[in-house]
Amino acid sequence: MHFGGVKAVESITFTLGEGELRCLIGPNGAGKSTFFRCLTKIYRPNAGKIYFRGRDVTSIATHEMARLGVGIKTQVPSVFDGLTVHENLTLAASARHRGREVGRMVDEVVERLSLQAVLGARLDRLSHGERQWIELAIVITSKPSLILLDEPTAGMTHAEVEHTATLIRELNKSAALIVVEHDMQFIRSIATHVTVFHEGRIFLEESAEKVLHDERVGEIYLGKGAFAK
Amino acid sequence: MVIAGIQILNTVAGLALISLGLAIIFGMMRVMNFAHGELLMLGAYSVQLAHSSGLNIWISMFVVAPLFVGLVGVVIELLVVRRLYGRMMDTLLATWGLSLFITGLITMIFGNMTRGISTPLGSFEIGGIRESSYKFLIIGVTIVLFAAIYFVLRRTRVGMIARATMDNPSQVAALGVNPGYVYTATFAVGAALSGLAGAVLAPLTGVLPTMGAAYIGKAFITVICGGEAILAGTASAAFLFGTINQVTTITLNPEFGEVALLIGALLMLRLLPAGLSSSFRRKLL
Amino acid sequence: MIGRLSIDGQMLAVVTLSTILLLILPQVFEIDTILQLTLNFSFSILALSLAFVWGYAGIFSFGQAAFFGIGGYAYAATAINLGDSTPAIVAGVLVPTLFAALFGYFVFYARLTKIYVAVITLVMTLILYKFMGQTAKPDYMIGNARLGGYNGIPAVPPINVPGQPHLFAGPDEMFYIAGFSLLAVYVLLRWILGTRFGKVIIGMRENEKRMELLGFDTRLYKLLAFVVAAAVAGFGGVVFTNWNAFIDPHVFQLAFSAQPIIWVMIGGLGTLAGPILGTFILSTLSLELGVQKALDVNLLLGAIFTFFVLLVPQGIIPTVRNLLENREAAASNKTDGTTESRG
Repeated sequence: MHFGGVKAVESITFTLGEGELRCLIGPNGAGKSTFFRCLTKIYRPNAGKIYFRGRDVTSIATHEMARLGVGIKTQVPSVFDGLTVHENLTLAASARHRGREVGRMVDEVVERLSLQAVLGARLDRLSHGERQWIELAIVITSKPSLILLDEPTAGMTHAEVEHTATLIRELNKSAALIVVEHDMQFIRSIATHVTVFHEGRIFLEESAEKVLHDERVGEIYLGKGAFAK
Repeated sequence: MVIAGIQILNTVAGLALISLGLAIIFGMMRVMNFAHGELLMLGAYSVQLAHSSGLNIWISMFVVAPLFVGLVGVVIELLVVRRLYGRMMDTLLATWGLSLFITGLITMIFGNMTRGISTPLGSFEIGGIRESSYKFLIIGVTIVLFAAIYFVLRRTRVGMIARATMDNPSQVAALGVNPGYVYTATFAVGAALSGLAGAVLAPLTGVLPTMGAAYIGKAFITVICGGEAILAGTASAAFLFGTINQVTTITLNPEFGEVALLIGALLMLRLLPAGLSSSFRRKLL
Repeated sequence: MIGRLSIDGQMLAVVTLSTILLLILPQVFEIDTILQLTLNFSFSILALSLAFVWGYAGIFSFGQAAFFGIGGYAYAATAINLGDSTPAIVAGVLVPTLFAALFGYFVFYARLTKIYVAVITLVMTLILYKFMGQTAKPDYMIGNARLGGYNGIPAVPPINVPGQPHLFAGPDEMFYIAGFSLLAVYVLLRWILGTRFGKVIIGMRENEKRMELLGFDTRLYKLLAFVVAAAVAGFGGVVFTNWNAFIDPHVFQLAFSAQPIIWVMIGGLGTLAGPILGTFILSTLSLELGVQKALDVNLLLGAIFTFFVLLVPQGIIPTVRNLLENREAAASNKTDGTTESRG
């Protein structure tokens, strides 16, 4: 995938198993965001193919991706600010369901993520962390089988990060996940497998423990600091 | 045949000319200036008034008009546009209100009658068909202006600062340049160019308060179909649409020419939603 | 659940009140006022079409006046040719709808951004003006109806009882027809906004990207909203042409195309009542201002409009509503968590 003369991402072979949770890490400019955006259909790759459950999805539109059962959460919270939590979830459920089903699905999500307290609140009145969680709720309302998360803990406090980790582990029980992240602590608490991007290619793909102890990964991140923990 | 070619070039140039000021304001500041037609109108009135008071036509056209409308641009930017940065729709609406206001003001002061300016430079003849030599002037002025803007933006420090401010105002501020000045200056230059365009075209179109309406649609379509590249995009869109317009006008009638322009724009946008610029390889200005 | 009920209660009150008003007014007011109100009713329908497509679907369209005009022309041509207004009314709604469907397809399936849509709809309107203006020659006819260029189509037959062309509407009847039409359109749009479709387009206005990520094909929904709005505008054009007994290309002019935008913005974008209010206020204001000779109408309207955009961007109704809500909240010391009902 290249922009103008710059090759952002090249020769990537990436496979995710059913129900697997994978983290994508790598310094800025390594290509993980570009790769991620190819998956979320913001970009279309110049070359190569993407398959979802055996189906070629390289050229489909964003909304078709969603209809196939892929939930996407962007880096900047993308929610309906002027609507309440309940209205947000209802809209999310209406995408692929009608009538009574909608209400049922919303109730399920509310139950699962304990959102009863904030149901009537308008999104723009919630804190940043809360909006991120509500966006997660929106994403899972229609029960996707694959969830793509772009830096879900960006801007969160330590306590919020921990809660997010719990949420993600919960989500993993019913869906596969690809998570782009920077926060190593967070990754350690959720990941089993990690893919490391470097200079547009996959540098390493290993279990979380191995990756987080690999010196070369530390060098790639030179100066990141977070690694020292 | 030659005459037809000159007419086509003239239409293309006219389109490019009226769109240049808007292209600069929209391309660099992402501001939708719906008072654009009125800036052209003010330029036309400037040249008409200055000339009928005895001032040389060329000075009226190339000095008085752009200076005056440039000043108007400064006022507009400071009073209205400045307050609405980033809010594209609101800017569109507010400048729309301004357009009504200016039209009303001019109507009040100068009345509704069309004023005329005699077309200078006489005429020439090719193959038995007379055509106005003024059309050459329009083509020439357009080329010179485009070249001048290119030069300023690409080769001068001022142009570089302008481009840098559009990309990253806080960074530019850190270097000691006041982004506010740059915005005002850019808007003023865009306005001045529009005033100049209105003035240059005035002999051919006549001068009346509501003349802005005729320009605004075409200018906007040209700029938007041109896409990101301010100069190359506008020029190529002008070429495309000017040609379609004039050819249809010659073969059918002027109204159909306008219709053809719109349909051409619609089809083009369907094929290239990001404008003609998106089909250019290198990043052109 | 509760929200639903209270809206229906509100709706009932609105309908009852309006019906009473409409029945009473012709007895109370002079004929001039009645005629003026009838005109405002037709304009209000136009305003509602923009309120729907812009305020609720988030699509800024300069083309509503164009659909208004197309509807008017379609009605005129059909009425003159067939002599009965009933098919003419259908034509007046159908033709702009079909036109909008075709046009909208090109615009929305190209995924043009908001600004581009605004400009393209503007240009469409201008082109229509140019085109209809040059139809002066006798060969421009639809059946028996001469299009008449800038002079338009005169002597348009008014609405008659279906199947009985000799029983046609006089000024009082027109008033009732226009008034109840406006009420019907209002109720219809309210109802649409309560359906799943309505909620989707509101969601689209709020965050188009998120709607796509949820699996909604926003291109389709935009097209549908655009088409519905065109139908409403076309209907307004039918009412207008009836009031006028005449239609000409001035409805395609820039000046007129701007009017609904001003009415909606000042009345309150994002509401249905606001634009109706805005239409009445500004239409009346234009008239009064047009009479006095001191200041030009455009100058005043432009000044008022710019003022509103800069300082009261929400428009009258939402601003008033906010003021009342703040007063209420302050008085009872409520905290966040209450659901706002949307106008």
